[in-house]
Amino acid sequence: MFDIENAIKEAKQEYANKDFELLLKEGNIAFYKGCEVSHIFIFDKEEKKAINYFTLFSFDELSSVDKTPNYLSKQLDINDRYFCGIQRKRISIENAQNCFINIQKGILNFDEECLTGRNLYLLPKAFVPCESNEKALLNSILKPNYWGDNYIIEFFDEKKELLTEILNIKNVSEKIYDYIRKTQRIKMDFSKIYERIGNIIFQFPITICKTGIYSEKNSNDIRLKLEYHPRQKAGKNIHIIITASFDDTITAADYYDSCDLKIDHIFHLGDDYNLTTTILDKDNNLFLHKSTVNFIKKISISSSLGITYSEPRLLKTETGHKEIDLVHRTSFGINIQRKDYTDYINQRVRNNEIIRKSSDLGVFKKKQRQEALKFIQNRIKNISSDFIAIYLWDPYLLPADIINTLYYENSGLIFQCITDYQKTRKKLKANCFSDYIQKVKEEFSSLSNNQGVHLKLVARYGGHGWGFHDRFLIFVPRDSFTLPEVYSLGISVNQLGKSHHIIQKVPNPRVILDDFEKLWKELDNSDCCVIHMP
Amino acid sequence: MKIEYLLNDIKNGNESAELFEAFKQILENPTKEINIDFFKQINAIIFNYTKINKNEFLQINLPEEKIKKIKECLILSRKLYTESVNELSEKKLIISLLLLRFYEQSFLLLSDIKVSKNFLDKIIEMLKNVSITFNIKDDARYGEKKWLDAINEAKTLNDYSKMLKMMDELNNSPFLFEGIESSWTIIFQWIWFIRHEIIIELITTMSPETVEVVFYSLKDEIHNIVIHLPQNNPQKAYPVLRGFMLLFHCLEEKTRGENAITLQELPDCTDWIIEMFHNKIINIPEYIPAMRIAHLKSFNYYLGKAIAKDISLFNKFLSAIDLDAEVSVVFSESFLDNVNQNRKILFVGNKIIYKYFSEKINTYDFTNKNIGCLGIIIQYFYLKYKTKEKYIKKLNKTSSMIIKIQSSWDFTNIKKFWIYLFYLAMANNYLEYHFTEKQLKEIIPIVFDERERINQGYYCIDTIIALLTSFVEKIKLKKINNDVVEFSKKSDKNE
Repeated sequence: MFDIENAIKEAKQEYANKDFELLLKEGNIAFYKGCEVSHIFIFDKEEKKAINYFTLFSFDELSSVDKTPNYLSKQLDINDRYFCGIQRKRISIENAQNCFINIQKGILNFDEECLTGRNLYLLPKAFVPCESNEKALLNSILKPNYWGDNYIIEFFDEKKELLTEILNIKNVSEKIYDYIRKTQRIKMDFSKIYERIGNIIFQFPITICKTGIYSEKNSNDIRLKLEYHPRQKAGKNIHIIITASFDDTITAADYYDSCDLKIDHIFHLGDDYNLTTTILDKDNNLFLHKSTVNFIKKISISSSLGITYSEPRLLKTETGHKEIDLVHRTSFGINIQRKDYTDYINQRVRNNEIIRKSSDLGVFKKKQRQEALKFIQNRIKNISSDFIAIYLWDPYLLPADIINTLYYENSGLIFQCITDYQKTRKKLKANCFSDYIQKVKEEFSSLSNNQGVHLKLVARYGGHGWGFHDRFLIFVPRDSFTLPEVYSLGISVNQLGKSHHIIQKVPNPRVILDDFEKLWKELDNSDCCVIHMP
Repeated sequence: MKIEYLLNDIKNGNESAELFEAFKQILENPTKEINIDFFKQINAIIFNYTKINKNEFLQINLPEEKIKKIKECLILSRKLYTESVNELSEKKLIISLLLLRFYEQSFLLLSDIKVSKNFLDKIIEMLKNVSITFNIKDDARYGEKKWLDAINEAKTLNDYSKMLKMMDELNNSPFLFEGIESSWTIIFQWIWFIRHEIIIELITTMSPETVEVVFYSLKDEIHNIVIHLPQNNPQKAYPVLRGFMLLFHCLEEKTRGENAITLQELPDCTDWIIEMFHNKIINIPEYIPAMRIAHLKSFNYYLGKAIAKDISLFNKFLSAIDLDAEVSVVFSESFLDNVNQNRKILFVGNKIIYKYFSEKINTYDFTNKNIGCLGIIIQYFYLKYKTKEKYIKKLNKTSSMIIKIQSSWDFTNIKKFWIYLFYLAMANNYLEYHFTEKQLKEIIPIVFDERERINQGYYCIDTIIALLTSFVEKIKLKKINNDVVEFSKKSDKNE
């Protein structure tokens, strides 16, 4: 297994090295004269070493070089030990080539030596389009290319061993994302593409040509114009294919081959929805352009109009009087009078999307206790290996509730539960907290043998913590890169399926997890601990 | 067409005894106050006597009987007028004037009757005590009540900006000055007829509402009122500001409609306007937004003239010039037509270029030659790049900036530099420097990057090249705005 994996890795590395030469060659996709390096690092003050957070080598047509790197902003202090910084430096192509070779040997030498992950995985070239209906997220960490798309060759840090400990520090990831986003002259956003942290990318902007795509007046024909780089003296041997699509079907297609230096060609398609244009350099087997565009045919605008001095709605609230300005909602548009076939299809697509997303929602009525419990149990049973713990947060939580839900997890994940002593003591008929603890232990013993259970239950008691009302089931991921999964139960576990409620997945789970952990910190002490198994 | 009577027609003759009897009752009641009811009552009596309404009155062929009645009323008007002057009777004066107004006759019918100083003093005293207030009915709409609260608050705080804005809103109301036509307006108009200075003196002491009525009464004389108002008392600034605002609106009216006059035919009050612009006590620039005159052609016309004459005003008013708006073409033309020193064009042009290219203006568009101050910008370039070397250097620098931005992380400003290059090329219509394509490839290589034809459009690229080379016979433009530059077939590829 290991040998096969290694062999694949070596083969990819070989491809990548060939790709590097191919992309750098003058006239293939550009005429590069230099390279701009943007280097984001985390500095360890104790070890006095810089760790690579992300480095981008972006080739361009400027020949200037810098002797020393420039800092793009003031450093960000993470804690007493670490700080984050961003540097930029222009280097020659030769220097960039040397860097490429050295990184394969595990050496990243930007200004001073910088630590990278061991055994970075070198991937062959990848084409990153920039104009697309669903823009490739990679564009959010690449340098914008004025002329179009990019190729990249990436060193992927799979293990991220150097960074995991740092990034697991509370809120550090968000702090660093924010710091980078706000730094002028580097428009990178890692918040949605965080798996690239630790990587090194060589970016090859495609500047050899510029393409313009225009819809003819009849909306059935498409005109394509292509102009080459001033240094390109002869046309390339290219293949252009344009397709139109709608509702996952290809509604039109046409292609054109040319070696001309200037192209101005009309494609007779018959449709212009979701036009995907691909231009391929046949000689070098390189994409020169790929885009998906849509032409605006209808505009519908909704607006609210407020009238000067119109009488507001007056409210008497707990904090005093309030005025609500009233508006008149109106909508208008261009070409929206007639509903055509595309409107019908689009409506169905939208409806299906809504239905698809609602699988993370359960609606339960009275006398559906088993169904509601099963909904929860299924999610617990099917939990993936990306998760290491399950938290249950319910002010009325009792042992039977934990057993009816969490105990269905069978791989030994950690269970952490929070309940409220005042709200549950009556049910257990406990006179005092020590009596309460005893009764809880007896309940667990009588209802289960607790085999393989790793559970800690704490209660809000004795002035610790704060009041809470909502009930959540939280799946905690193994690392900070994975998003937690959180379900809002709508009702206490002991009431699930006994009256109308919904269980739904929460769209912003990190916030809930953070709040649970804050409260847990307050209650995780000998005063509040109810039971800890084993 | 209304009937106009001449003085000789009514100098002698019998007045209407019946009408006189009707007025006697009111005149003999010492407790009858001069208020809106008084006016209403008089007008009602006149109407009931003649039984003639406005529409009827405007007919050409009135029956003889009615014409006779009207003459008798006018003779009565003269009689009452004479008596009022002799007896110092305000009520008789008012009735006399109302009779004249009812039949839409000129004050000239009374011009031969001398008015004594004592009488004038008495009338002035009456007007000083006139209190005109806005009234809102109890069941008025919420918006109207809110408006009244707002204007009262503005008055209390002496917030002139707000007062100007609120009064302007009032002008759109259909109920404005309901009833005022046949009351105080006639008095103010008569005073103006007799002696202008009295109005000018009185207006500075009046409440904003009364000021509004005065200006309403003397719409056609606003210019003559405003230029004589004292401008050195901040406490009495309101009539000056309101008058200044109304003046421009009145001037603007003259340039519209069937009998429109051109801007050049408007009265020349540039010197007075310059004086007003300089006034440190009444700081006009502060009130321009509230006055809502920045969009008026008349304002831009005078502003252009004023700044051409006195360049020190420009910084104060730069924020009032909306560089996007077509109306500022008027400013540009007015300034250029009146300016007589190159250094002024350079000064103004420099500031305008800085403002235009540093603000986010949505009219960055090669095909739009109607941006407000394009004329000034082109003239500026013409004066600034008097030598070919300087011009080449600037072209080259602009081209280099575009190339630099293409390799940067942010392309936001690229269109701005293309527009700048485009305008520089337009200036060559005046500069008339000749370049070959080969030379241009060295100076502005960016224009010969064929890829940019896709980005910027073929029109832009072809136009720049055509303006700088001798492909076409150059067409001299006196004014760039609203003129179309014609080129050879190469630039016919419009995108």
